[in-house]
Amino acid sequence: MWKYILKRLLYLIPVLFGVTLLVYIIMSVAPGDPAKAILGDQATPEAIAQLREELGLDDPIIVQYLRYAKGLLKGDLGTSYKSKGPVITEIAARIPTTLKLTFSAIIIAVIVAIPLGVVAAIKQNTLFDGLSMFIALLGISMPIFWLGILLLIQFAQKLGWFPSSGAESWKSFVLPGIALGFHSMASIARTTRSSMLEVIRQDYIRTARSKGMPYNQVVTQHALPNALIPTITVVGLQIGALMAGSVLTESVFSLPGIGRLIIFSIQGRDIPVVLGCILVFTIVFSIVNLLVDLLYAYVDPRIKAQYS
Amino acid sequence: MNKKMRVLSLLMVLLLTLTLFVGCGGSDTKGETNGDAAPTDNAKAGPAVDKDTVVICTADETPSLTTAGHNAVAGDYVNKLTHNGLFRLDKELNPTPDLVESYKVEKDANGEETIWLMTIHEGIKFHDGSVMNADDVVASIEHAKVSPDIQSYTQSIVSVEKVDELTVKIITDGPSASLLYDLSHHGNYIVPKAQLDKLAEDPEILNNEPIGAGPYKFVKWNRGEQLEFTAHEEYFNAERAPKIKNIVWKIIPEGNARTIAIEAGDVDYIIETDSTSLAQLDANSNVTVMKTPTVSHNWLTVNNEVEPFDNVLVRKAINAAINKEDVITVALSGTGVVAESQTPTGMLGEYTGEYDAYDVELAKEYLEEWGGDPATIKLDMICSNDTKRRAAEVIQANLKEIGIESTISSMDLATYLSETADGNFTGFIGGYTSNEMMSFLKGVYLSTNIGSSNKTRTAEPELDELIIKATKTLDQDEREAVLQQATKFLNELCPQVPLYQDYNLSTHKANLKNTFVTAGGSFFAQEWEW
Amino acid sequence: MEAKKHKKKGPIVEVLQRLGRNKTAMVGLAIVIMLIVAAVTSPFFYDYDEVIIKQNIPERLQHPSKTYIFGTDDLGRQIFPRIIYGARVSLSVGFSAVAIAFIVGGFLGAVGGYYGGVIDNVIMRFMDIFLAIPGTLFAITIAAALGSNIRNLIIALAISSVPGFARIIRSSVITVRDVEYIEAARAIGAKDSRIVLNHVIPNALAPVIVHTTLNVASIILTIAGLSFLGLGVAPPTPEWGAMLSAGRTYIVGHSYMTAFPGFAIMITILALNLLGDGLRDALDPRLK
Repeated sequence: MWKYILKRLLYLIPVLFGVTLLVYIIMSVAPGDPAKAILGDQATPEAIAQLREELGLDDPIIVQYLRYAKGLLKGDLGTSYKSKGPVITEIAARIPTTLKLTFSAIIIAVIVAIPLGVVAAIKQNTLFDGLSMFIALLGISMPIFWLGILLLIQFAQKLGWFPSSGAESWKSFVLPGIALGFHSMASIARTTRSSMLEVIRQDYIRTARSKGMPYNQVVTQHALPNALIPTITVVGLQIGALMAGSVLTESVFSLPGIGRLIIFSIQGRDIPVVLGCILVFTIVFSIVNLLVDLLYAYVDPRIKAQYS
Repeated sequence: MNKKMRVLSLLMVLLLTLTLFVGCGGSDTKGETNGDAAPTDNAKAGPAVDKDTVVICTADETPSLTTAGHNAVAGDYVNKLTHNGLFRLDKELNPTPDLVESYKVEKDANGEETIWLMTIHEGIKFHDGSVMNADDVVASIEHAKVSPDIQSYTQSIVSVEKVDELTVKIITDGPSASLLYDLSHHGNYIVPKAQLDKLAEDPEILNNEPIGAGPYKFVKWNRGEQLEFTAHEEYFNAERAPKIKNIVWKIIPEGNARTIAIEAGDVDYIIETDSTSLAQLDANSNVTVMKTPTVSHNWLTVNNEVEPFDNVLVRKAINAAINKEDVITVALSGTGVVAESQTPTGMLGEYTGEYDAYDVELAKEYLEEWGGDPATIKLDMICSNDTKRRAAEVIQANLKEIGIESTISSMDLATYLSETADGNFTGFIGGYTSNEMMSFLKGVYLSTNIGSSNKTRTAEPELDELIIKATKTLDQDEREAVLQQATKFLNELCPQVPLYQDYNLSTHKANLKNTFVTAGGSFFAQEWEW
Repeated sequence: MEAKKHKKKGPIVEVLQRLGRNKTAMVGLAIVIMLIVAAVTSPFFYDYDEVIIKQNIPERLQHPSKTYIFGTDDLGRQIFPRIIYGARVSLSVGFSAVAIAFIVGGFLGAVGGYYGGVIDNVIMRFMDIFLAIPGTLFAITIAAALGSNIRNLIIALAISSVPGFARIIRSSVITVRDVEYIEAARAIGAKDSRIVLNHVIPNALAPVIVHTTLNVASIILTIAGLSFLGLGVAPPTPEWGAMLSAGRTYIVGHSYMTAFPGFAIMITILALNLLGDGLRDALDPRLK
């Protein structure tokens, strides 16, 4: 199994270079000169020329990329065009916020979704079932930023229960967590419901029931653990969606995270920072995918057999 | 099953109505808040305030704290807290001595006034306790001269040298009416020479540990979130020493969120208020919105090198066809004044003659005189934000009235800046903010700035001459006459379509006193009091 | 008995029957059909120049009333006709992006899956690079880089949807590749392209249809997000996401400006999801 993990991690390296090359090319051929973006409306032509020279923007794209890749091999993410400071400090300062946001979103989603899905399955075709699946569908269909603004108005401005911006305490992450987690909650609840439905129809559940085991106990001890396997996969897959969603959520709630940084950097053509953020997203995304695969293998002996 | 469906659809309708009312309720309860529920809210904005701290919130984060390392408005605000220049702009935007105690201008060998002797106050203390002297001034200005970010503010300075402990000699490239303005710019602020000497080994020192002699000391910077400052106890000028001890500087990019933040009591001062939240904030007795007319001049720029916009009649037709009042209503919720000239009003050298107001019939006459078919005119307006987009949408409808079909392109700021600087456009919504007329004219219309800030691509030798002449005229009345001549020339040429000068909209809690915003958008946090 | 029934009806009829029995899916289908009808017919009801984009500044920001069913926006345009017309824009952007993604992704996936070996390896390694970046984030990057107009938006959304299609079609192709009738076709000398088009692709259709339905939904949501970031459809086009985003600054006091486009998006996505789920159930008899 360790061999497999190592293989997957090693495979990540060429993928990361592929990703950086791809994004580097997209950002470089895109209209919009970083030097002009930095110097703004009032720049003089000489200043623009001087800055382009300093940033090495006059070299061919491939030369620029190789220079970047060389640094990357040494673990150097480069220097921000805009702040002129190392990219690593810019990103490191913002990672905790994005992680906290993603984490709270997942926690909120899971806490709500699993009971919702389980109960909906047990009470299949009742009003509760219909209602919870309807809520789940709402979660899938509501644009994040709209939900976010509505939450802000209701709970920060009118009721004053939560702060309207910033990332100081756990309270700051409640509303963004709900806004971001709602979508994932919906997917998780739906998956839990359908896998739960499948499981409670199985023979061994009937056997347990016929032996006189109380229904609640059957559900929690026998059905749930098995029904959760697909749920775990979906939770893992949601991480990617959550990271992309963090871009919008962080903007609505003024959270200083990677998502907002990447938008500013794309808009300002701060290529090294964009690449740095993309790398962080890609690495987290890939590692989560790996964990999901491993977890899947762990709970399903047939898959485990293939890797040992 | 059928029953379930009915219940579901009922629920859905209910929910949709509910969501609708979350927002609607906003305006309703707002009204009530001002009546009955006011005391609770007052408690939040009033006595409960921490008198030692003011929380300022702003849309953009400064790219850098290094005074000479950026030309961002967001950075200018912050630099003004931590640093000073030899001069500063007063509330009427005139340069006035700041660190400088006295100065005089001397004639050089050619008899031109190019030698400036400046003596700074004695005993000015930097935040680290060291005392400022002529070496710091020389080192700071020399450092600024090599930075591309602020090049337009250092161009007139040829050299700077130390005369004695407190005096420096600055040589300009001819008589310079702009030097004192340039020295008031954050790019030329004074930093300790000791820090500049360390730049080679620690290139980030000015950004990570900014030390100046300004009214506030830098405490910390949580990137993307907030900056913190505390009063500089040994500020050299007792009259202008800070009154509130701490400043928390929050970055909140979304306009909605800033409004929500001040209404929730989370922040005390908003630098840029969304004009769309104005009605709501005006109705709130706990906050005060300051509406200050600015010198920021905003236009529909057309590319004067592209047919048919190279024809003055076409440009004048477009100018006369646009209902600028409507543009202001829609784009700014009414918070602006109609531009009356090719250059801003409110500064030395303003002039409004030879300029057409909104008049559709006149526009049609210009088009007739031009003789071409308006349907052949292809205008695409580039916009880089929501305000510009709203302005462009009104213009689009106005131009349709005289038979011109136009399109709107949204671009992000970087693309917008490049495309407009490179001349890859027919039109765009843009603007320029300058604290004085000379640098405005230089930036927007001087032919050598084609390819950067001269986006109409105007190249008129006669105009260039007038602009240069103004910058070399030290006598204020003479200079005013030259500047007015330049504007008159421009109004006849009509290189672009001026739309409005917007208001600066800053909002603060009603009990924050002594707030003031200049026409250039600057404010003086050290004067504020609870 | 059962086998006989099976033969008589044919798979498509059976799928449709199963779908017809699924009430929620039928609701979804009904809404989708209504939206398509609105999209196709709206130009006949509303003149684009005179109603959809015509401004009326004195009548701006009017609350919903008898005259203006859904109220008017910041430029005095009526929101109701813009919402109806918006179906045309949103659906056409959604479907064309998915169509491009389907063609490109389908081709890559089918070729990779059918031939296997080096070709498959090259294609899938390339797709891995795309898949390693979260889709929406990638769409944002491309949209920002290309500049925003409808064409570029479609390209950006299509590119970010390509890997998903490639992967689904590839795995479907692999499962049917070695089935007997394909081998039989090969044995009688059918060309590869013919086999792929006539035998392999039709068999991969089931998961693709489901994926398409859900993908259109997620694309419409992504457009809304892009509009929020200023990368959406350029004005004056009445696109729901752009309307929702433009209305957000007026949300307090004029919430109808966001509410109606928001509902339009929600109902569309809801319907597509209901339909997609129904199709999945109908196409996958194992679940019944």
